[in-house]
Amino acid sequence: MSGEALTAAGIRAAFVNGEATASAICRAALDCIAERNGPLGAVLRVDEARAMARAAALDRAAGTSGAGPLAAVPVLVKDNICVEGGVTTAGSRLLERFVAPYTATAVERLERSGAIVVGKTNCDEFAMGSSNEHSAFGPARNPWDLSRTPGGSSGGSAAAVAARMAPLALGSDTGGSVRQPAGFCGCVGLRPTYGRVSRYGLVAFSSSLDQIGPIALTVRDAAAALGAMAGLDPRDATTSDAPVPDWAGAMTGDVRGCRLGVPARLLDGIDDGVRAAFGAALEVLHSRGALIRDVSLEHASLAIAVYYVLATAEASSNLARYDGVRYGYRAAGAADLRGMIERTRTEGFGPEATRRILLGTFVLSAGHYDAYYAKAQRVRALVAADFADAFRDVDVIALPTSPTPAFRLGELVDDPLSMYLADVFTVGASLARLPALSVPCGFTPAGLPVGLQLAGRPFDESTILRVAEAYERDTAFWRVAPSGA
Amino acid sequence: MAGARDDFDIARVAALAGLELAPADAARLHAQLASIVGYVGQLQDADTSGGAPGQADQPAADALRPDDVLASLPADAVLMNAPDATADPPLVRVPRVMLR
Repeated sequence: MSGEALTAAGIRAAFVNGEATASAICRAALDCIAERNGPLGAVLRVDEARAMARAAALDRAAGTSGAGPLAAVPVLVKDNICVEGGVTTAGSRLLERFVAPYTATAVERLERSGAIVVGKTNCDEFAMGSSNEHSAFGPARNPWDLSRTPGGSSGGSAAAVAARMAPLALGSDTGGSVRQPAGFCGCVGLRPTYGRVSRYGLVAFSSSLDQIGPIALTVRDAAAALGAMAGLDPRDATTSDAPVPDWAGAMTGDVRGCRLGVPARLLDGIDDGVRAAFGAALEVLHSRGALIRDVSLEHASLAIAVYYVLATAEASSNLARYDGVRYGYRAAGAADLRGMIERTRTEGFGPEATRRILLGTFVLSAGHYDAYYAKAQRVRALVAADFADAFRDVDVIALPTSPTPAFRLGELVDDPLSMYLADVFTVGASLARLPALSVPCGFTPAGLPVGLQLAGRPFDESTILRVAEAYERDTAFWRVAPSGA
Repeated sequence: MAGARDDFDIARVAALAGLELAPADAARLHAQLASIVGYVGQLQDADTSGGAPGQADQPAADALRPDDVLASLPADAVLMNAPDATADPPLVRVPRVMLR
């Protein structure tokens, strides 16, 4: 199979039209994972029995009721999102044997729409990382070049979709963890507006930033997944009761008069291949009638600093729960409770989680709170205000998803500050709680995928999906698969 | 970019974070984190005197709900993942608290 047949829409159509049973579709996905995952390390485990039982139930119900928008579509789920009865590690040794006692709302809603969860994907520990090298279970690799990272922290989800193991995967995006790996692997990755999708059942990293989002082959598939997951959830008090629009209907292909803002000042020093692909993407949209304008995001240069203060502060608080008492790993041999907790945390957390806990503890500590945490909160508001100002003159803000294509495994792993700086184009939308997506926009001369990032106004996913889908009609880079896929 | 800062006391921060660091790890982490703290220190030069112009840190929706009793996980489901637990009564077991 190739092209449309491998998309979620194509798979659903095959099932609805009686060309394939859900069981056959699910079997094919499981076989594909078994065949392709070895060198990629993208999928941590499959739940064959659960998936095949779910497929059989869909087959039994076929024709008796309306097929859901994701009927019979195999889906992979990042391993920091709970599926009841299955292990959820969040990429950490601490949770290696943690069995989820309930299912995340996002997964529950995907399944209600007909999707079949076939397995869980690799990720940086507690979603902290930009390369998937901080997984306790080994790195995932980029299917376009196995010596390179797929990005992170949802690297396994992006690598698996790029390798056509499944047409759809869930990731979580705190500072870019859906968009950046999608860009590195040539997939579509969508971070919804903060509050659009419930985080109930997502292992918490940074609660004012975390969002669950889809990684897909096409914009339409990402929109279908978002439509299935979005909406108020009484189990997550941060979800919004904003109406869930008809995103499929919004994708008209018409971008005439749509104003795209480009913060040109931020593009100094980016990779030449990324710059060329980004420039060509703007020309495609201009040729469809979009208007390109320069915008100024005055405080964007401070966004990385703000992000790494606030995200680590919240992480240090959220990860305080890993004490070896109620769940997860417990170190042996400690004589007292305090010693047990310290030994459990020291042995259990990997290097990046440890670094971030320490940084977050520092910025919240007495004598430093005002200078770092409180100050970062005030600058966050300035970053958000810059976006609000820009959206008075434009409808979408366009940037490359990352300043470089996928870097080599090991290239930045011992230089955490450089790794953090690679998030420069994604953290702004996170801090401002905006919807943003990455859509494939070509390749560097070395054949590595490049992502075009489009950010929109709060709860205006419709516009960025419309622009991205229109762009996809003219380019269709998603049709180009890495060798072996 | 601001330079590395020397007010990052790795031993104090590790104690606050509930971590025991081996000396070699502490030295490596101190160097890395002092550099990162130096970088984020540039925030202190940002002009925020105009006051916060937005509410970026506020939740997207009203976080209050009716004060109703709702169902929660049963005890056996809660204890399923506990490293050391007793079934009857349903409790987690931990090492001694009052030792030092």
